[in-house]
Amino acid sequence: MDQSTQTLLALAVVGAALGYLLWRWLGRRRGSACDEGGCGCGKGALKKPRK
Amino acid sequence: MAEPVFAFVGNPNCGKSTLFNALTGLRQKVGNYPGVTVEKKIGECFSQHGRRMQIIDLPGAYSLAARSPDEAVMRDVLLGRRADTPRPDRVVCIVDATNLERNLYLVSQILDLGLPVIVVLNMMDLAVAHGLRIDVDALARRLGVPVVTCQANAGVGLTELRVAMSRSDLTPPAAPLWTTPADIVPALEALVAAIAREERSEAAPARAEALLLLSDRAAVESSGVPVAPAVLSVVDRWEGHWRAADFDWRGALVAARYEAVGAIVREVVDTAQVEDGPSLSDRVDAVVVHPVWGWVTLVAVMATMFLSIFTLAEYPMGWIDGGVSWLADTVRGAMAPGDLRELLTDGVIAGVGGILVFLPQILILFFFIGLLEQTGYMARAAFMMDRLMSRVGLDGKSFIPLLSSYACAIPGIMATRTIESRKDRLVTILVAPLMTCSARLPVYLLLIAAIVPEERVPVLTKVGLMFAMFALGTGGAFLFAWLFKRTLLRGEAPMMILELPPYRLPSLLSVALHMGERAFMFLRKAGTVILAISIVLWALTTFPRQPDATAAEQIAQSYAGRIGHAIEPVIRPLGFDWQIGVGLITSFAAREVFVSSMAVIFNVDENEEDSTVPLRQALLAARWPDGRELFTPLVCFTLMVFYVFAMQCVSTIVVVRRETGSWRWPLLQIGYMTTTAWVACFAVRNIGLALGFH
Repeated sequence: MDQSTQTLLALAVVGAALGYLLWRWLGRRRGSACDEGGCGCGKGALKKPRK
Repeated sequence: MAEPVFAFVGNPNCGKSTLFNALTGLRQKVGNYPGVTVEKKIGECFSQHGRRMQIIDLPGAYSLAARSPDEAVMRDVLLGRRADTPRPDRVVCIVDATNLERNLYLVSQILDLGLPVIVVLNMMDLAVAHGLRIDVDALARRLGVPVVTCQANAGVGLTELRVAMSRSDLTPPAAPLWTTPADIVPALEALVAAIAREERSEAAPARAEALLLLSDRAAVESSGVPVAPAVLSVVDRWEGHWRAADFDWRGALVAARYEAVGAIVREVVDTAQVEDGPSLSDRVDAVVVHPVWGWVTLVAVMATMFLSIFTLAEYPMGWIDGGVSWLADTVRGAMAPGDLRELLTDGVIAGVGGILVFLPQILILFFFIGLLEQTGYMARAAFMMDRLMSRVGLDGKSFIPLLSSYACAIPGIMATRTIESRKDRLVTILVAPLMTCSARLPVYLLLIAAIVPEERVPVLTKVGLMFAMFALGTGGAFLFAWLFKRTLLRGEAPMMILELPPYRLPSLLSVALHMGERAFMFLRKAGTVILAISIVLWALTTFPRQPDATAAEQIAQSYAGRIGHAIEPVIRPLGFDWQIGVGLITSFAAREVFVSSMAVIFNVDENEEDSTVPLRQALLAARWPDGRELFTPLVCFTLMVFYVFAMQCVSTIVVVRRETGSWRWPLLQIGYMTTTAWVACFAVRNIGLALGFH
């Protein structure tokens, strides 16, 4: 594999990683941070307690 | 026919979640202390005839007249007041057989709801061990519902419960368990009629709601579902009437229930074989909650835990370290030089491998936490800590959330739902991230290894340093709780009523499952967020390419280098250079990312063909441009202090925003924690320099 191919592939992997982080951040804002944040507490979706 | 929906209810720590897990095959967190479940959890199981049944596991409560958010969940689901949950068709009431009288109070309220009920006498083994003999048939006759005996943690009685749940002829109890005081009967009848008319409610739920309105109106109103004004006017009229007559109607209702429950207990429980004198639990408690020996025990338990983390993990850590180095060297040998090879060795393998090394220590930590939770020692630790917490004005119920925060701040913050007072809940949420979560463990372990690298240094020095970090975090949490209680969130600290559960033999299978779950979470995080951040960080340290530059010049002029240099003036007074600064920024995503960031940054060798060195050695070799050592013991210690106080966790911030319903509190939290981290590091650095450290 020549150097240019390696650079192209490396940049593709970096793009995928950035895309994943962005997708994750947007998903976290919509869903449950507790489940998606991987804290492992096993609790479900969070809801603001009713007053 | 629709699936029957069962609700599992009971007092805190009576084994609801253990039973729920056993029937559904799910792995809801369980622990031998009250308040583990703070939200409902829905699962499914099959009847004896293969019919699907839905089960809702609800947080524990001592009565339906509850005010804390978690207890309100139970009441609102049972009354059909939650839009997101169907009203259950049937209720399984789990009762701690060792404490029948207190548990039957809630049962008496559940029976009022007019739903078919099954009573499960759990922990029968402990009741027998205590010398209690319970006449189960007589209890079933008196309650008017089926009663099943059970030992949920050993799986005993599950078939009998499944058979009872499969019965199609379950009906609500025919007659009320207790007699409403005569003075209250006219009010109750008027109120039931008003509720039935206004809310089109059936007679039994209307009666249950009427009783709740009379005994604790504020609790019903707080559920968020409006009560019809016509109904409230009936309550107002009668309350005014009773106040004028100086009649304590609430006390009369409670007393009438307890009188009925007490009569049943006297009839069905034979205490002749109960031994006089203190039980084994009492004798152990005489030591572990003693004002002096209790603290000695607590310190000894913590020291044993840390000692195990340092000593037992040594070999598996070495194996993982060796495996990671071998993998990096193999990839380096197999591929031609280029960006992809660098990305794989210096980004992916160094970043993820750097954090994977700490898996054995994380597992040991959770082994101990699981063991302490299951035996019942955690509740004793809560009792000891409450003496300190009440002095700083913290609600006693804050202990469980703070304790949970030692594993992770997120479940800790969610567990604050057990706290009734909004102010006390906010104080606990604000200080919970100061407790030493497991994400800090890799950071501390790496830095401690850098401070005391020589093998001849006794392991107790490392234990002492780790203990100091835990103590600093806990002390910081108490200090800020005290400050918040005296400034922003003033209020009296309510008394804590904590039930000390009996000691139980831990289930090693349950502890192992918990460890496996944590290992999976850790590996998932390493394989997702940490992997992605390591890849992005590699790119930031690699580009833009500087032709003919050395590796050190390349990284200094990269995007990461420029960001690091931009913040260096802020962190330079703390003894940190721009490379550490990059680690501080990336670890805002999660604290352990600091370790993988250091692995990526310091893995850039002058000679690309060099084999990979362990991260600890790479840190020790790091230098300032003038040749001075970068990671001196003082810098490592200061960095540890930074991680004690700094709010480096984006997931926690999101959860605080959700739980408080506003950005104000998480922003305040980021502000006060980051400022404290900087000031504390500045003080540590300067005191250290004055004492002759460098």
